[in-house]
Parts: sequence; C-alpha cells; structure tokens
Amino acid sequence: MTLAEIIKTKRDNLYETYNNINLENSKEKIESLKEDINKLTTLIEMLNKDIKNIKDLQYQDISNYVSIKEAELKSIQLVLKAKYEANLAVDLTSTQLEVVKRLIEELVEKKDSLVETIRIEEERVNKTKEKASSIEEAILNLEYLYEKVNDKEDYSLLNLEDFKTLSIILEDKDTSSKIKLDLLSSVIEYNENIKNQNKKILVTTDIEEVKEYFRSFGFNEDMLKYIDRNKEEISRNIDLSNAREILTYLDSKHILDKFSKGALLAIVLYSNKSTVNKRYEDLKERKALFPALFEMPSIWVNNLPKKARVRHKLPSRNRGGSGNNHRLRDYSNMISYEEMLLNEQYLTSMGLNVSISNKTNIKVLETPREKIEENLNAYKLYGFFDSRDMSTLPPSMLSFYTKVADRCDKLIELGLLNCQYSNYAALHPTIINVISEEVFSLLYKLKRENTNESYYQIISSKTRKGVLDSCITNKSYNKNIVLGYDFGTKEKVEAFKQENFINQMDDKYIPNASEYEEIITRENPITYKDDILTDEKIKVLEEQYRVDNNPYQYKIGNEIISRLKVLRCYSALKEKGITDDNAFLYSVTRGMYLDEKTFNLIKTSVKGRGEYGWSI
Amino acid sequence: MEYLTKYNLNAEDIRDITSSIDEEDKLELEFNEERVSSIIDYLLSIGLTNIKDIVITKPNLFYDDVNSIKMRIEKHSNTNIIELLKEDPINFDLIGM
Repeated sequence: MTLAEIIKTKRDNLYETYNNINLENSKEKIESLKEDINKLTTLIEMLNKDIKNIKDLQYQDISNYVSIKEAELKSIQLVLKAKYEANLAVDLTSTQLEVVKRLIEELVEKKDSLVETIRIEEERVNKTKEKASSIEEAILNLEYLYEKVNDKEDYSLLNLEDFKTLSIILEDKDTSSKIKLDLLSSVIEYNENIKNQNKKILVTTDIEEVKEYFRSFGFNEDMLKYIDRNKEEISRNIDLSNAREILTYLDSKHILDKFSKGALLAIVLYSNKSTVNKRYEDLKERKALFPALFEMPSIWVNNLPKKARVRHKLPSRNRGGSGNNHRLRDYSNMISYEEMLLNEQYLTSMGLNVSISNKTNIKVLETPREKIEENLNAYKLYGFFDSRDMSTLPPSMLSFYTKVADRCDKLIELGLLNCQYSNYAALHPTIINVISEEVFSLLYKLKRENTNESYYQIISSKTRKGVLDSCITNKSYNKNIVLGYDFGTKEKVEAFKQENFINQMDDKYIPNASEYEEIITRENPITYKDDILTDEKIKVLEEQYRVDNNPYQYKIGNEIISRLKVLRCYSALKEKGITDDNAFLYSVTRGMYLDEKTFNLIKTSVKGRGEYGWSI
Repeated sequence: MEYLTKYNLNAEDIRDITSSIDEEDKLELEFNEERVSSIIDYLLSIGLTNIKDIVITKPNLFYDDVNSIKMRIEKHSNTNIIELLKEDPINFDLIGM
C-alpha cells in the first residue's frame, strides 16, 4: 500500500467508528435521572423544613423511591390534617414517627444513589465524548495529511506534526504489523522523493530568477524587498510557471497593481490561476471587488472548510507560528471569504460597525464564529450592553481569546466592573485582554489592604480622573515594576504569590477543588439555570450577602464576590449532581487571590447559615 | 517587522511587541508594511507617539484602512480623546475602536 492509501484506509475506519458513536440514549437517561434528583431534592427540603408538609404529599410522587405503603402514608396524613387543619389535639404515634423518619432516610438514600448513578453515567458520556473528540481530531489530521501527500505542488517534507499524525496508525492495535512496516518504508520513500524534487526546485527557483519574473511585470524595489525577506519560503515553494500564469491573468484583468505585496506573494505561492479566476469572476458578478479584498490573500486561495475547522480548534496565540519558513502559507490561510461574509452579516445585524468594503474592524471579521458568540454571550450576561449601547463598544472585544466571563468575575471582585465606585471595564473592555494575571493578584492584595478611597487612588492615573494607571492596562509599560512591585522574573511573581496568598485549589483548603476546576474548565459555563436561585445554599447567599440593587455582587466582610461566578459555577456543578459544601465553597472562591484570613472569613460565613445548615 | 525601527522603535521594543501579540497580528504587521506605516504616520500626525503601546494594546487597528481609522477618530475631534490616547491607548475603547 502507498502512503496515501494507508492514510485513507485509517481515515475511513475512523469515520466509521465516529459515526457509530451514539450518546443520545445516555443523554436522555441522564436528563431523566436529573429530573428524579430535582424531585427528590425538593421533597427532602420540603420534609426537612417542616414535617407537617407530609400531609400534602401525593403517594404516586414518592412510590418509586420509598418502601412506605400507601395506607401508611394516608393514615399519617390523616393525623397531620386533623392536627394542623382542623386543630384537633392529636399527634403522630411513635410508630408513625418512625415511618416518617424512614421515609426521609429512604428519600435521601435514593437521591444519593441516583447522584452516584448519574456520576457514573456522566463519566461514561464524558469518556465517550473525549473519545469522539480525539477521533474527530485524528480524522481531521489524517485528512490534512492525506491532502498534503496528494498535493503535487506541496514539496515540504513530512515533519514532526505529520509524524504525530502517523503515530495514530502506528499505535493502533488493529492495524497489522505488515501495514505498519509498509507505512514506515513509504514515509522514507516519500521524504526521499520530496528531497530529490526539492533539489531540482532549488536549482530552478533561484531567488534572483524570481525577482526577475516580478521585475518583468513592472514591480520595483519595494516588492523585491518583500521577496528578499521571505526568500527561503519562496525559493522552496514557488512554481514559476504557476506564478507566471497567475501574474499574467491578474495583469490581463488590470488588477495586478491593486494587490498588496504580501498578499500577492502569498497568492502566487499558494494559489493557482483557476482559483484566482473563479474568485475574481465571482466578486465581479457580486460587484464586490472592494480594495480591502486585495489585501487578504486567503480570499484568493482555496481555503477548504475542513482546514479552517482544524485551524479554528487551535487557540489564537498558537495558530500559525510554524517558523519563518511558512509565514506566507499561514498568512494565506487566515479565513475563507465565505466565513468572513457570514461574520459580517451577523455582526452588522447587531448594529456593530464592521465592514469588509470599508475595511473596518477586520480583525473581528476574521474571528471564528463560535468564539464571537461565546464572547457575546459573556458580555451580555455581565451587563456590558446595559451600561453602553452595543454599537458604541469596540467590536474587537468579540475577538478576544481569553475567557471573558472568568476575567469579568475578577474585575467585579476588584471593583472595576459593575461597582458603585467604578465601571471602568464597561468603558474599557480591552482591559479584559491586556491585564496580566500578576497584576490581577496585586490588585486583590491592594484592594484588601486599603480603604476604598486609597485603593482607587493608588490604581488610578495621577494626572487624569477616572483613568487607571497605565501600568495596569498597558502590557508594555514597564514589565518589571507595577505600582512599585517588582514582577521582573517568573520567580519574583511566584514568590509574590506565595508570600501573599494561599492556594485554595489545594485539597488542604477545599477538598476536590481541582476536580471541580476540571469540570468548570471543560464545561466553560457562560450562563446558569434559573432554578439555581431556589437552591438552599444559594438562597443563603442571596439573603445574607447579596448587595442591594447590584445583581453582580455578594459581599462578605469587605470582600466582593462575583455573584455571576457563583451562580455559573455552582449551577454547572449541580447539573453534574455535585452539591456538596466543598463544591459550593469552591464556586464562591474560584479565581480569587485570597490570604488565609480572608479565606477563613468566607468559609465560616457561608458555613451553616441555612435553616438546616451544612458543614464544611 | 524591522520596518518599525523607522518609527524610533528599537530591537527590544520589537521583541516586546512580538511577544505580546497573536500570531495573526504578527503576520498582518509583517506583510502589510505600507498600510501599517500609513496608519502609524497618521497616528503620529495627530500627536500620538506611543506607537509601541498602541500596537500592543490595539493590534486590531492595523487590520483596517487608514481612512476608516481617520474617520472614526475625527468624529470625536471636539473631545479630549487625543489627550486620553496619548496617556493610554486603551482609551480607543471610548470611541468604539
């Protein structure tokens, strides 16, 4: 078998496995178990609150969970109704009280057992999801590699990433040893071939010859400068006859001089006449030959959606970055024209000032849709559009790759978002993207150690009211010293954190916190279920610590706690059947930089405040 | 991105920029010297000299057309926005940029 055939066979097998994965039954089962748990929680809370509530129970509501007979229940209800509704001097017998006690115990036992079942089922679902996601990733990588080895214009050797993809086949127990040996020898053969072809190419694509080609089309030193800067990639990848075809075609349409130099080089290297021709005719027909499009090479290169999918799975900061040898290739793979058009329609429908034709806010137009939507939902929840009309906000805030909701929690807790003294972040949402984690930690310390007045004075600009000191908002200001604190090296940052804060994620402080963190990181909840507000533990926070007229804050002592953080996290954990006290304390303190004293204050404040209390 | 040296940025400044912005931003700056230069020239012409800070805090601006940027800033010419931008480029947020 050839290398391409081996890759194709494995890819097809994986497709089959992927298509056979079915999570629907498990999801339905979990949903139905959750409904049971909710019913049981309500029943237990109702009975714990007051035993007389038993008189309103319907037997069919509990018959599936407990061993009590209908007749036993009815006789108990009769006594309770007589006592509480008819005011008769009767009471439950000791046997009936025993039955009631057993009834509650059985409900609790049943609930615990369902929680355990749900946990096991969810674990199974998560494992299957992980498996599905890893198969999906493997399929995409194999597809990409299949395309590469079939691409007659791709003269790059198989690299480390490609070998990682091939390890999918090598590590597969179901692939025979013969095929694995075939694979290894075909890899050697493939790279040998490419090396031989590259030798030929390098001889035929001397960079001076490339420059001469461009000179013959009237390009001057400015273009040659770009060629020199990228000579290695160009000389390795250019096909001069392909380049000539593209340049001649663009010249014949009188659009050659409209292209930016970087874009033109990327197109000449990674596109072909047919794709360029198709795009030109299409844009012309739509009357959409906007100048901006001549500066975007990806518009003119055939960007397959699946490539885009693989690209979008990677965090922005890790995208591209394949070294200086593929910079033009990365540049030509930014986003497809179709994806950009969809983004433009979506964002303008919300009143945002974005435009391909006027080249306005292009960065957000190049952002994957799912990221835009995730950010938008987070900003909505955190009230950004309540204090400021969406159309006046910078659209670039929708292109942030950082976790917006988590950062908003911190800004709320630091009195910089939705706070009576400051709503800085709503006016300057870019702070979400630029503030560093060490500056966050410093602000927690400063806020805790100073009066409100001093805190805002310390962190504000000394020359202008309502503006923060630029060392907080500006990454390049002075990386070493922030408000007098030395963060010059990683060691210094670590020492500062150790000296001033505990790590509440440690089991010593909150048992199982890392397990909860794993769930929250994976689920990435951007909202919460409304019924979380009827949860007993949440009700205590709402009653005792909710700040009047501020839906964003709880306040314990002087410590602001992001209300939305607690609701989002605890709701997500409760959905998983996790409702213990540690999960609650985790939800309250997540992401905060706390000292031991403040942690203990929060812990004792949330402990045992409910009517029926709980213990931590 | 070496062309940025003509705006009085030294090698360390350029290192700071490349370590602070996304890969996509780097490519955009790298392959669009003319457009980026025209934007920087405009920013300098209105008195904004903190170019390094602007590139790091607001790399999104350099994807756009200089005329679009000019138009959006000029709409606010009767405010103290330039003074605010001189102090901290994050204030571009105030005018929806």
